Amino acid sequence: MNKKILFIGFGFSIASFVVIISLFSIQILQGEKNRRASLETISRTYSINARRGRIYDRAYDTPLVHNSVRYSVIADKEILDEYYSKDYLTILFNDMKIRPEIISRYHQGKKENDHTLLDNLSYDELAERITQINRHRGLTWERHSNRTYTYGSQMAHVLGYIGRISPRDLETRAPQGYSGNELVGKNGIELMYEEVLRGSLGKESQIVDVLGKKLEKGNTLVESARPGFDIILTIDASYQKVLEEALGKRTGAAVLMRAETGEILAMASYPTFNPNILSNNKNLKLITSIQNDKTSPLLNRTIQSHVPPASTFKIVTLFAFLNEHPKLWETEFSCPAYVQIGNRKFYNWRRYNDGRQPLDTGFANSCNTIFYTLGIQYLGVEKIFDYASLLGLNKITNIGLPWEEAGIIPSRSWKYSRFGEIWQDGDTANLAIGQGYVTVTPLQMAQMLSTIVNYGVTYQPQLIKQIVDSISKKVVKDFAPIVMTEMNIDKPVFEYMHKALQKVVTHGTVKNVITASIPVAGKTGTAQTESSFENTHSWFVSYSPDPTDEKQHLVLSVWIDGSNEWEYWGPRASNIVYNHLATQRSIEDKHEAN
Amino acid sequence: MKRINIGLFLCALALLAIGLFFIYIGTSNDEVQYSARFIKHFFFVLAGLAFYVVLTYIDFEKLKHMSFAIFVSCLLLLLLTLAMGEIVNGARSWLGVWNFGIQPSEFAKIALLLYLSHLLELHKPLLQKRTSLLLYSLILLLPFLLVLLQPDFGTAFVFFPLGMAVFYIAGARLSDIMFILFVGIGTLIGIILFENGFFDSDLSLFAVQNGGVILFIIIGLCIFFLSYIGSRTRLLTIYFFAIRYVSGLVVVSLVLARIAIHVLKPYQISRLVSFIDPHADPLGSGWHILQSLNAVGSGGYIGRGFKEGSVSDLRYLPQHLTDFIYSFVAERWGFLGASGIVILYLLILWQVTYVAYVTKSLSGKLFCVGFLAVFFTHFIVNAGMTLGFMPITGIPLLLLSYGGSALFACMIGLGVISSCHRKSTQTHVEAYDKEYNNEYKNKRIYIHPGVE
Repeated sequence: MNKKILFIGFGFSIASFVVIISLFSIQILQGEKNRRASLETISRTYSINARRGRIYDRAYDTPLVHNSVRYSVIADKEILDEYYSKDYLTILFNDMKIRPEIISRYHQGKKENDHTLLDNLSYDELAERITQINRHRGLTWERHSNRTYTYGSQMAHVLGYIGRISPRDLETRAPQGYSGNELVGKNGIELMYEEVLRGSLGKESQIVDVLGKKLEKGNTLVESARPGFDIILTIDASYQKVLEEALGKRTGAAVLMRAETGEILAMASYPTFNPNILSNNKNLKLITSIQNDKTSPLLNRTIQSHVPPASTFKIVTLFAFLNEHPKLWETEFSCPAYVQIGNRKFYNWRRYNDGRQPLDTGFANSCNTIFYTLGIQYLGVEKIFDYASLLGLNKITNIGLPWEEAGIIPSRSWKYSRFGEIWQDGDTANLAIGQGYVTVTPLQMAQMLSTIVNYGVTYQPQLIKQIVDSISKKVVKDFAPIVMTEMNIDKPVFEYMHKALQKVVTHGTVKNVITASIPVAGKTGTAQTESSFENTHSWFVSYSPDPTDEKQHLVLSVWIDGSNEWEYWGPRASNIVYNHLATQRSIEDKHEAN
Repeated sequence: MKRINIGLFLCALALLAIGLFFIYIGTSNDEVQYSARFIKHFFFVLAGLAFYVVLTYIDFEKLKHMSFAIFVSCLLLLLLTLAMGEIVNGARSWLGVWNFGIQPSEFAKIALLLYLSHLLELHKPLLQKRTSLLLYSLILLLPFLLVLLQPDFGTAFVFFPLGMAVFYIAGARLSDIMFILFVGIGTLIGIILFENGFFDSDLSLFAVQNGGVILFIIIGLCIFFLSYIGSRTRLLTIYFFAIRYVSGLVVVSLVLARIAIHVLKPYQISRLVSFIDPHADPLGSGWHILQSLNAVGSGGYIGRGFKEGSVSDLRYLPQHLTDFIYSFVAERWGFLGASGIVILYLLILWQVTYVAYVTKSLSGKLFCVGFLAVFFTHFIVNAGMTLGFMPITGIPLLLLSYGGSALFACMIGLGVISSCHRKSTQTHVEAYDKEYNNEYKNKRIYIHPGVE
């Protein structure tokens, strides 16, 4: 019997060594693996947001768009209500300068527990209230980064705005590591250069307990975030300001561009919006109200509105005629009150016979009847279409902003496929003076005129000058001018064009309007809208030598929508801009004199 | 001169102290230094030591006569628990007394052991027969079933090794004893096979759920009876016996496994099975094992010490004061500390074996060996569970885990063993004197021992 006892005791002892062997295997042999597994279990990886890149104007001093640190104060209703009486809280909130409507909303609020009492505080504003926040349970403050657009609504259409990523965007952007809460560009440069501005997210590993609560000290940086690159625009903030002021509160658009490079110096569109509100406001109602506004403030009218160019299209017609008929340059054309085409009378805008005029005078006076004749007798729809296409009018300019429109240059086949009707001579007459089916965007007009100024070289309009590393300030990418097309047309044609365009200002339709002391050349346009004869678009596309560099030219295209009160504002707005340019030159002259 | 077994006492004391220490560091925080649980367990330890000391000085022979009453009252307590117990962790195993709750199932082990050792001392020769072994097993089955009905599978399981060890020492055949062990293992394998869909694979001839098992059982029974008929020929008896043994084993195991699948709750089955591959369900039944392995594994040679940010501190390790206290210790003290704990348990095992060896009465030997089996089973199943080589059952680690009932039961058992040791060391003269004294006291005649 004692043998049996020893047998059992011995057996149990041997079996117990299994535990030691197992311990050795788990703790020593596979210790490293188990340690790593336990670390994986207790740590979560969180992404660190990268600072979004800033946007500068060409001067590269004060940023147009930057990120500012703002603070908000948040209350946990459950805790506050438990510890303090309602009256005490009201006094406390008044002390903290919380607006009465938020206090009353707090007292009414039953469903939601977290109340944002104060939002968008600066550091100083938070510091004023910090003692109260720290003393009371249930009050906390949060720090967050706000996208700030320094000049508010100024150049809002170029800069765009940011917002929470939409579910559809998330699907397409998920491979780049976007998460559901991220803010992405929604329009303008913010949208088109999202990848550049975003930078790359960092990673942080944080030890959490089994309930997911973060440990205070247990965080380690795995990968630091790389802030987004800064973007330097070709926009000149001072020009932009002048252009927007010149446009005023009139529905329309204007763009100022350098003819020799394609750089956009200013780009304005009205009505406009405040990207600060769109980017940082949590109030979705306000955002949707802006998005659904009847005046479409989010529309960038320089590239998204295409309207009849009216007489400014005569530039194309004249250009086509000069090139097609070099022998007829000196011919004088009669400018009657109307021309009979088929069974319709096509009138000039002056309802009397203006007599015979040289071509450039007819152009300067914007004589419609001469251009009817040119269109029908000398060119025909095909030629006009060809030259308009050559000047880039039915193509998007690829400026690098979203949702650009190409406009319409009608042709026989276009009309047939669109309306099922055959092209008439009357259509050609309308096309020759830029009425009827033809539509263009203000930017296209600026590009078209630049090509004329440039002796046939078309540059792609550009908004970005440089992409710069935000920390080392090193240039990451430099944007050189891009030649789109170069046409093989003799110089005298362009010289004639320049002379004719100058004559518009010196002797023609805007003789008394343009008062600036620099040589301006351009072409007016007054387009009838379909709805009414009284409300008419006012166009003025023009150029002048760059006051800071005589060899270069600035092209200005202004379009005032027909819905505005008639003020002939296209040329007038341009005059304001040119006056500004002229005074700028005088300032520089003074510098040189000194 | 009677001797106290000081080694046994010191080992138990060391384990109790370590358990208390880990309950202290596992519950104290910045706000509360001495938690309610720590204080409670501290008094449990004191009470347990008191039990030990008192029982050491009570003669085992006296306890024996009360054993039937103790056993029956324990059974009644178990019945009462089933009727009006509190449900904790899915089992109706707690009986509330004032603010305290006791687990009668823990005490039932000791009571059964006491009664069984007394009974077998009286009727020892009967055990040679297989039928009487079955009869004694019925006594064991009573508390077993009552605990199983709670249902507390882990605690109920402990009755098996207890019975096996006691019956073996009392003279049952080893092959019969081992049959029970093999059936246990076979049942576990059967459950695993059921869970993995082995019996309802496309290969099975019966297109019913778990149909394959019927085929196995029928074939097993056929082999069993064929070999039974074969053994009548009195030729190659040993081979026929082996065939019968194995086929019987397979049949019984499969039947038990099939019943277990019906009786056990799904979570219990998944716990039973998940120790084989905890990664199969890492957030469900595998979670406990994986977290325990994480905790143990991050201990290394000397442990993590008491730094923050460990698996147990962040409450990933479930039940880190009761069922998984061994992982907690292994994480903090590493391989060296955890092995030290094993050594302490081994020392106790050896002490108890020694006492069983030296005790003269059969009932004492049986009690010691039965306790040895209970103690060892608790240790190997609990430690094995935390180390991932045993299924998860809610068996506490005796002397270390938080909780009163298991601790009291263990200290009572150790106290009885200590008493056995004390008695075994008394000399013949002393024993004679005592007997003589008792005899003449009863006859109301006083004779001084030294007079002769």
